[in-house]
Amino acid sequence: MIELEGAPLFTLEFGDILVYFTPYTASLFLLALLFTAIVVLSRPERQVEILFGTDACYAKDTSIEELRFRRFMSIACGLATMGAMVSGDVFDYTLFTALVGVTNVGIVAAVKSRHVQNAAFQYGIVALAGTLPLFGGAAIVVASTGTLSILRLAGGTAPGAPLLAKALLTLGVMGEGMAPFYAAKAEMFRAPGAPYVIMCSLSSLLIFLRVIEVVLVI
Amino acid sequence: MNAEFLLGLVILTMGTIAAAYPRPKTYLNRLINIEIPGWGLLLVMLSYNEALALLTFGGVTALTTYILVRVLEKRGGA
Amino acid sequence: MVSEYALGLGIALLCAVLVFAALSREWDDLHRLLLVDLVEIPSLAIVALVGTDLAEALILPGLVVGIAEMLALSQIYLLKEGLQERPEGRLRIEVIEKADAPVILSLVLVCYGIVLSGFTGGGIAALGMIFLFMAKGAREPHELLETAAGISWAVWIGAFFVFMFAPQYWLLAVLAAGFGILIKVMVKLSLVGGMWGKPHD
Repeated sequence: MIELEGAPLFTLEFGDILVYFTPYTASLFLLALLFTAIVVLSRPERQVEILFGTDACYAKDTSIEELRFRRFMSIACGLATMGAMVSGDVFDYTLFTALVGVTNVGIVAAVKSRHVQNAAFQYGIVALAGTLPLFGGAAIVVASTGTLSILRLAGGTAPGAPLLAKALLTLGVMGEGMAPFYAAKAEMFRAPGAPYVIMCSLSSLLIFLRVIEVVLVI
Repeated sequence: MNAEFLLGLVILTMGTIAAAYPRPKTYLNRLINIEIPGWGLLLVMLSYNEALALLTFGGVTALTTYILVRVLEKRGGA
Repeated sequence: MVSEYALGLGIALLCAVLVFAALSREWDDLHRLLLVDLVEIPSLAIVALVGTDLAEALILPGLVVGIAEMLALSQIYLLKEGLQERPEGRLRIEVIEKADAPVILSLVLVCYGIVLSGFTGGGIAALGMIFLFMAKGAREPHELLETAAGISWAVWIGAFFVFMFAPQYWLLAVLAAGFGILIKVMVKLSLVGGMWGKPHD
């Protein structure tokens, strides 16, 4: 673990739940924190659409209630991503990833466009199907090594996790937002209101970066 | 490898096949067939003495069935 | 001879593959929704096979995540198909309207929820109450229930303060927390369920 990402700088213990900050996880955490702050402080942009074949264009506005709900969902997604970035055990990481999937659906659910809601539904189906490899991988880790703590698995005091568990974890995170399951998520981007929608993309990118670290280390 | 464990696994498999490929393929049929692998899972949990998980899973299945029945009712048919 | 865990894991993974194969051939959205409900069961089986106390602690959040996603997805399905406005059909079944069956079933569910206590117990007790309201079409006193919910939520928060500052009274705090959250969730969910079918004024 030391060669891969640097020594743990700081660990925070809530009883037996551990969060650890190494240079790698701390930089991912700061990125998620920065983007959540941007979401808190900004207003949604107006999506401009051009009528096909003419020069006329119209802008779509976001009403206040819709804004409030979507901003709440984006902040929840940001908090879940921050939690996933620094979590110190495999099962907490999978829980936060599943939460990221649910909040991503919530971010676009309030939009009144039928196409966006359809895309959100398809993405929700894929995300929910992805929770099977996620939880299955974490369960296989605990069944074969006896511990869930990433620090103990990386430090060599517990036997390494089997390849099947690592493959299942990676598959589950790919289901949350990586190719080839990205197709439905890409359709969700038609929803107006950056930066709320970009939180979807950022969260799946960050959880994928973290799962690569987890899989290489345990 | 006691009897509940093996029976639970058998019911889990048969129920999954029944729910994944129901005949005739209607929504209600599939919803009812989903309870079968749930029963197999309850037997597996019983064989490991996981009482709390068993009770909670039974309750959560009741809630999920209610939610899905509501969707089916609004959808109206088949 | 194959070990117990290997056998169970192999069968659970086989079931998962079967369900995913069925999911990949499905074009209809409601069938897909039902199939992802089915997907939960092999995933819980893989977690339950661990067999220790830790497995129970891992199953409960898995169930909560599953039900949260099912709620969200079913709501989105109704929204996107434009089915929100259809009124819930009142079931015209004699046994439910005239006999005592709904009362007994609701009582069983409420007792089960109280025994289970906590968040899931609240949900099940609410299900019992919603069933009673839907079958009998009763009107419930909103203000009294809201007061009860508020007080029980305060009791729950107070129980957590007792955990932090006076841990010697932990048993009292556990009971208070369990029943507080039970009553709060039961009242809130049954209010929500009772209002689902009625148009908002």
